[in-house]
Amino acid sequence: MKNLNQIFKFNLLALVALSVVVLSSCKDEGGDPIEPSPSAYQGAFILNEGGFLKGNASIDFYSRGEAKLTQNLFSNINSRPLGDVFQSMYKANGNYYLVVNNSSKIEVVNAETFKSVGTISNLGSPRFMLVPSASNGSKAYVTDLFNNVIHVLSLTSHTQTKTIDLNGWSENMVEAGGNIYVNNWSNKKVYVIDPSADAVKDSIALTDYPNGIVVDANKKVWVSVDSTATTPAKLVRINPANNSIEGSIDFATGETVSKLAINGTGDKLYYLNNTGVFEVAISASTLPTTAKKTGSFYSMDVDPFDGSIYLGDAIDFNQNGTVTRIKTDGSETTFKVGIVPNGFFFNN
Amino acid sequence: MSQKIIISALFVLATLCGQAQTHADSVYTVSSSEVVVQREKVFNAGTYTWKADSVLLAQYAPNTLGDVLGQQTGMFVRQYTPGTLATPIMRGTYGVHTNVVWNGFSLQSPMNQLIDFNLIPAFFMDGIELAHGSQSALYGSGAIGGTIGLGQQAQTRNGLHGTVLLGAGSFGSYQQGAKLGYKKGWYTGRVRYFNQTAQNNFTYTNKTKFGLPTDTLKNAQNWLNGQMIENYFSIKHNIKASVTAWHTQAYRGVAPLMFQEKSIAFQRDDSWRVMGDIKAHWKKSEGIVRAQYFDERIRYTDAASAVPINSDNRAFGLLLEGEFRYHVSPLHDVNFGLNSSIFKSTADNYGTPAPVQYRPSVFASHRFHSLNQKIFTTFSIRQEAVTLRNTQNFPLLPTKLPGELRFLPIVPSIGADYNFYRKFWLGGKLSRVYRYPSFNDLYWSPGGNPNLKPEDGISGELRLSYKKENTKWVINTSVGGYYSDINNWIIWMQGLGGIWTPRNIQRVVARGVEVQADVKYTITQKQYLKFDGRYAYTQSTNRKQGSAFDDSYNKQLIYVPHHIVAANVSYGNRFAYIRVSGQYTGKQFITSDNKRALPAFKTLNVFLGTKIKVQKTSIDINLQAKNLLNAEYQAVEWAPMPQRNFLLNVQFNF
Repeated sequence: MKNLNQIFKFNLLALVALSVVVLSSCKDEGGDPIEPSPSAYQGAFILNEGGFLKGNASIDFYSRGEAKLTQNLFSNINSRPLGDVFQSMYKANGNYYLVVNNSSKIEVVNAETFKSVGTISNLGSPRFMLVPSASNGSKAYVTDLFNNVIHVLSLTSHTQTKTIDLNGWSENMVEAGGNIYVNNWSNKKVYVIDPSADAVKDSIALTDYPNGIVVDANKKVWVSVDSTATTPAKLVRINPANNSIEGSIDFATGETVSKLAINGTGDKLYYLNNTGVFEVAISASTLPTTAKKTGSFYSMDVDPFDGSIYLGDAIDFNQNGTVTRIKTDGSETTFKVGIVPNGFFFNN
Repeated sequence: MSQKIIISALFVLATLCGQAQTHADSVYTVSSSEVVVQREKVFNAGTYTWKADSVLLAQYAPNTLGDVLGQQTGMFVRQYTPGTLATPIMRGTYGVHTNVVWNGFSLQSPMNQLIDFNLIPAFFMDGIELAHGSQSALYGSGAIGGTIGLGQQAQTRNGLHGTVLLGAGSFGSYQQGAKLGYKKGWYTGRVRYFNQTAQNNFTYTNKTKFGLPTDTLKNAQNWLNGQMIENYFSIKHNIKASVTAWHTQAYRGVAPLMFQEKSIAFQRDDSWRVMGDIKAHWKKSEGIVRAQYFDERIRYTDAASAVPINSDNRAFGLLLEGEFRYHVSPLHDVNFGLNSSIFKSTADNYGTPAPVQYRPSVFASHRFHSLNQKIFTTFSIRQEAVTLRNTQNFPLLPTKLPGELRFLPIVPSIGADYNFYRKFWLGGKLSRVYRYPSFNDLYWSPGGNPNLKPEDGISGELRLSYKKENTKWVINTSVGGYYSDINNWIIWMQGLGGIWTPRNIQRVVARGVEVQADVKYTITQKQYLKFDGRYAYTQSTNRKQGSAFDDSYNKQLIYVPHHIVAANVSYGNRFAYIRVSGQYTGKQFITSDNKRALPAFKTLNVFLGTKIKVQKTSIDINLQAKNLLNAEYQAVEWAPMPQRNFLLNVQFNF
């Protein structure tokens, strides 16, 4: 009887112990919400540049499936503001690189936790970042507004290792055919950089400022070019095989073009003009006259993973802006984001 | 034709009044002892005012206008770091809505319509007066939030007299000043000199960096230098003339904001102003003719800017004004005036031809007071016109109009003060207000909008005061409220192609309550105790919604604190004084949707001084202990302000 009682007590104890183990392991499986797994960030990061000299840039995240917005990721997790004029974002080596233009820095955060892992400082006026695929994630190029260089960063030491001389204001970049294509405003050119030599090897002259650059399904480079008093705005197609312009579609007189984007399959281009957002097939020879959505927007991009169009409205540039997401089925959602939403970064 | 009408009208008035009492009302007779004999002093019924006395100005001798007004008047003077651009926020409006008038002429830059309070040394002023609210009917465009009058006073003692000022303070701040005046017979003159250097290399907690490190402010050094020459001539017993020249130069680093790695931006200011006037008074009338020429230049360099900046902005102006006042009777006075102003700017961004703007105006006022001095009323009206953008190059003195003439709103104003019961007064004012856009608004390329309309609105106020004065007590206290409704409020917004452009898109309603108490108790003949305090509650909101998602609708304008308090307690005797001066600046919103704000801050400054008299000379030793509570605050987001700091100065008077 005594034995039985002891056995019972032991079993009870074992049960309690076991349940504690099970419960605690359950808790582990549930995960800590502050440290989400990589797949938690499935959706669109919203880059709010903030007011110039206001130091109120921020980053929001909008989940693709749940349609849920999380605001101020960087400052909430790292307990300090992001900086002044958040310009662009890049993902490499399990990190996000947040290019903060007027703070002359790139904030490096862990892609799973968004916790700061370092700051690359003293970068002049950084704009966009790109990691050449041949470098296997060891180096990055960063364009600059006024320093007449492209910064070459080591992604192992998170420092600037050298610079490539490139006169004028360099903007966004793409990689095609193993080379890097860089938009340059000051010289109205697209420069071609050989990433194995870290040197400019060619350039393509344009009629005005190149303000967007994407690569299509055929590995051709598309550049949106602004209008001048005498030349129209245009979409220009560059063949990376010989770095020449092989096609061009002109806009009507007085029309502008900006925020060139491409869908995930690389067969449809999107852009903003005076009246709204437009979609055009890469095979088209004329531009559409009907907008996907009319209005005045500050930013636009297309989610390569589900084809949704994201439009940013800065309202008066001094308050929280809005983002409108248009899904491929035409349904729309508009939500408030941070100050001056200037771009998007999509993750899957 | 119109000239004839005016002359005959004056003649009729003159004959009508000739039969009335010949004793001239002395209330505003032009006399050399008056510091600022300006319209707003005479035709100001119903106006809430503030005036710096000579004691206060001596205590602030090593400081700037920004310090005096920011600490004493209950207005918010917005400045980044010490010594940088300082502009006022008054009655829910901005720097462009507050006029600063120096000896009758506006100092507002035609380029941006701002006046940098930190470029005006208190040492150069013998009088600072502030009239809250609208003065558009007297001073035209821009006088909406308030008008600040500045002026010099001719020395009254014969012979050679002067002051030498030497100051030294925290963060490498040094001041040297001198004024030397001379009076003999028909001539009175004075030269003034002021020089200030400051490093402003104070430390602050950098709230934007990881671990909140203590950083030292860099590139905040500044240099301010000014000279002024005043000449006063007594031509006849009833005719006086003066010529004053004022030169200001400054070289200032533009300090980085907390989130910036560094700044290599610099601003160089250079301005010349020369003004002259002739004043005459007769038995029943007075006449003033005045002229001012100015040349102001602001050069700004920033090699680290997005687009490297090396700008050179220069503006010139020639202003002429004639004013005639007639004492119709002991109870009625009238004032007529003509102003002819012409401005030109060769700023890089205005393109060619350099914009020239001709702005003539005509104004008139009437003042009445009852025989028992219990009722005062004023009525003023002003009409201004302005030329549109010139299409060809013109000199500053064109021989024809530099563009088509456009008439601006006619601005009437009516005000009254009524002593309704014992020491109690009721005052009120109703006026139209407007602001014509600046050269930047109109002509900046790219983005300037030549089709902008003037901001246009109405403003009204009411005030109840109590005034008592006897040998022991001087009490002046009041409470009042105002309401302004301004349409076509100009806002710069980014338009198509990312270009910033100004548009008449907002309607702003600003209203508030202002409470003031000045109490002076004379303990003995040489000993006083004084309290003065001002509180302003301001609600200034945008009443137009741009789109369904525009959350600025019905929200407080950015940078306009709801609450401002400025209070002083001072004691003085023959040998020493102490002034304890505290300010509270309430929370200010920094986004138009009021989602973000800078916290409120309190500053406490103590002024201590002693006077040593040696025969006919004296030495004042003054110590200013600033931000004594060691508040860590920002008046502008991410621009650090210094914690506790000191300024010692010695003034030798002879």
